[in-house]
Amino acid sequence: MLYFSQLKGKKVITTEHIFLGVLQDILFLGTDTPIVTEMAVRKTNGEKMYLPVETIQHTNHVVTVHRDFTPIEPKENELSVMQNLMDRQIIDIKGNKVVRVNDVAIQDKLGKAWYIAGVDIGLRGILRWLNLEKAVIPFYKITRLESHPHFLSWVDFEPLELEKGKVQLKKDVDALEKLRPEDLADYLEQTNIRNVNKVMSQLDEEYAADVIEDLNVNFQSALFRRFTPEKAAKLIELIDPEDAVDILLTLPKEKRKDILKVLPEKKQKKLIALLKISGTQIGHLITTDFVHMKPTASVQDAFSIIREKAKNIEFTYYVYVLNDTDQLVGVINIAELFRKNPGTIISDFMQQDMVVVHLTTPLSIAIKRMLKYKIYALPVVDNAKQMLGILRFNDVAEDLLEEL
Amino acid sequence: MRKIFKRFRRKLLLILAVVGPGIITAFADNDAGGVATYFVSASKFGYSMLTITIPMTIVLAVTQEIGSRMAVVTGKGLGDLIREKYSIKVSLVVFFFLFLVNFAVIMQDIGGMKDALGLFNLNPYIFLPVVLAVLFIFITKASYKKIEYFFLFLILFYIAYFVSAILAKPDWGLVAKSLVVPQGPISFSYLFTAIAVLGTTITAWGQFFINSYVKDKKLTPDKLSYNQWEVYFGSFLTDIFSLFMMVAVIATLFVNGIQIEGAADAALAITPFAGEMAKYLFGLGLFVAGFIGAAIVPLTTAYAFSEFFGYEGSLDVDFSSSKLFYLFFIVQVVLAMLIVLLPNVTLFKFALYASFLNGIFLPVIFIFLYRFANDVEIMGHYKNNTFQNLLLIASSIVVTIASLIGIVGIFLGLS
Repeated sequence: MLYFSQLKGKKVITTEHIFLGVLQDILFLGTDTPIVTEMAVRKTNGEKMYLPVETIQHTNHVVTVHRDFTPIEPKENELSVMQNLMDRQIIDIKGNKVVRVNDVAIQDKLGKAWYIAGVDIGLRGILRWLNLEKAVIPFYKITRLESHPHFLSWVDFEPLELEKGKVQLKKDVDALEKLRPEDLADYLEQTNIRNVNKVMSQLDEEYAADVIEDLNVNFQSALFRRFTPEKAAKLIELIDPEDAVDILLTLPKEKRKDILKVLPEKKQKKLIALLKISGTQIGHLITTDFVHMKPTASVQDAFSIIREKAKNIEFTYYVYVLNDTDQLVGVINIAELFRKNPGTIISDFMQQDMVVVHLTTPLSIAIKRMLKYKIYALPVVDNAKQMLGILRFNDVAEDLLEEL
Repeated sequence: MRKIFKRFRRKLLLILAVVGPGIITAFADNDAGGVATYFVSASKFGYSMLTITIPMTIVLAVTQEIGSRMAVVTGKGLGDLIREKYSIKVSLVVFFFLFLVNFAVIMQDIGGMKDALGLFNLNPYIFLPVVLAVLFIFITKASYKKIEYFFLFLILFYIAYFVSAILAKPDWGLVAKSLVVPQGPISFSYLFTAIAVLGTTITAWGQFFINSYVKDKKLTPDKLSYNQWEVYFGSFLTDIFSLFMMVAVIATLFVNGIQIEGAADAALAITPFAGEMAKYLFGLGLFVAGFIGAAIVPLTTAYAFSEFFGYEGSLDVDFSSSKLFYLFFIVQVVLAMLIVLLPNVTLFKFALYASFLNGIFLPVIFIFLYRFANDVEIMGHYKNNTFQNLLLIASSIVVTIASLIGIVGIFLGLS
């Protein structure tokens, strides 16, 4: 790891010991992987020169570049450490001030491209600029005050905001826990599973369980696949048993067993019992007639398909989007089609995070989901996400009524 | 007619919305140290000292206006701008000096409160800690609005000086004449004192404070012109009161040839001429001046700290989410109080240190102010025009010379 404070102001020389100037700034790409592209060198005549990072041979008390260097022009989308990062105010998702950037850390693994690893926001970042870091470390050891650098990693930032001159944190756990679990679940469903997993790992367990209950089933399933059996078991314990069964049913058998094994005996028995009665309960209710199309179809195509199918299908509230291997990839409410231009492609606006059921899903859970999300028919998929049919609200209601 | 009234009412509401920063900062410049300086200089030079009032008002108005405009346009304080433009090392040095200067001023103000308590025969060892504790609880618990109203309310106490001046029955004709033409010989000693007066009114912390405070008020650029007038009005009002302070002393002490050493001195010396009442009014005025200073100057340091190093800092959030901000506030006040309460500590020394440090520091602040106010990247089309720049440069030169002479004076033992 290299710090910007250790680079700035260093002399830049060639392998033949010709003095070029003083390192002033570092440019990088404002993307998910912030690769360092160039360094800005101020020549003795005051002019600025940009050298590609690849020309750097090694850095110690000076920065040595290859003798055959060619200066280049910085590209438009590049950000600068001095202008976009150093000394900037870091704000959290709600715009509160958190701290300022005291130093910038650069990952300089040998033989690999340099990239911005993150920023130092601690006192050590300040001390490093004053060349006092080493002098103060023994003091830290005695007082046990701040033994490690306070560090924010690049993944915590919004790269897009950076371009606008704002260093914004993606999330602030303290702030998140003040949200209602269902709001946080909504927010998390907008992001990807990696992010969800990361946030989950920072929340306290009871709150995390509440959030998980409110996540849609795909996220629930994906999360539990990532959790260790121990962690999964802890959460399962906190979640309402019926929801827990629901989640367990979406998991591969092996994983399910592993989780059940680490549960306390009482809970384990109860869940196993619930899992048994959940059997295949909805098989007899599935309707295999449904409107489906390819993601590449246009709105106009969609209308002609519906017109054709409507002749022998009575339930046409939703259109399901299947890929070439018949996997369910999206769903569209028909009303939505009327709001789009005829030329718009289906995949541009289809709902991708769907609420689905499996053959193994208990009826009571299926109807709960329909009510919760106000959906009149749920797609039924198998473990390979292939669509088997739909489960209609009126069918489920009828079945439940008969049982009464 | 109704239309005119409606328009007037809307304007009035707009003006009321921006009231605060300019007036409060300007009045805080007349803190305990300021009051003492006015008294001492007026008792020494009499009516001719009044000539300083108009130039002082202009310099104060110009420098404060630039500071508040910067805050409205950028939404940033002086500390924010220095950190973002000049990075860590410069920020550390500037903050260190600001802390020292402010600490000296805080000691001066708390010392002023101690002397005022003495005038009322109240034991400072009991009352000073109590008053400051109440101040701290109020600052941490109350909302920005309430704190602002409280400061504005405190300013009413300066009317004490207004009443004192009337009670003293001065020669108002001579007062008016002195405003324009100095009524007496212009000696080196006179110039030195005039400049010292200027130096206690235009302060480094004042420049930081107006910035942070306007920023905290979150005014938008469309209210800029109202804000400007508020700042001008604040400077004007403050100096009216400075004038009355000096007049009250001149009409009693100066005409009877009595010279004093400090503010509490003045209150005691004035009693034979203007009565017991005047003594208590002076005491009350000094106490409030010290109190405003003791509240605002440590706030300035706390604001600057949160700006330089990026922590959340605002009067608008409560203690738990702005811990460092309030911690900075309390540490300064408590430390200053402990030192002031030590036996055998005289205020006079702090006044010297404070003006000495302020003297070195202020020119640096003006350089920053000039650079930022002329930076298009920062100020856009709100940057200084030529006239504003000329005024700023002239003011800086005057204040810089003032501070330098002040320092020389300290070494020569003139003051």
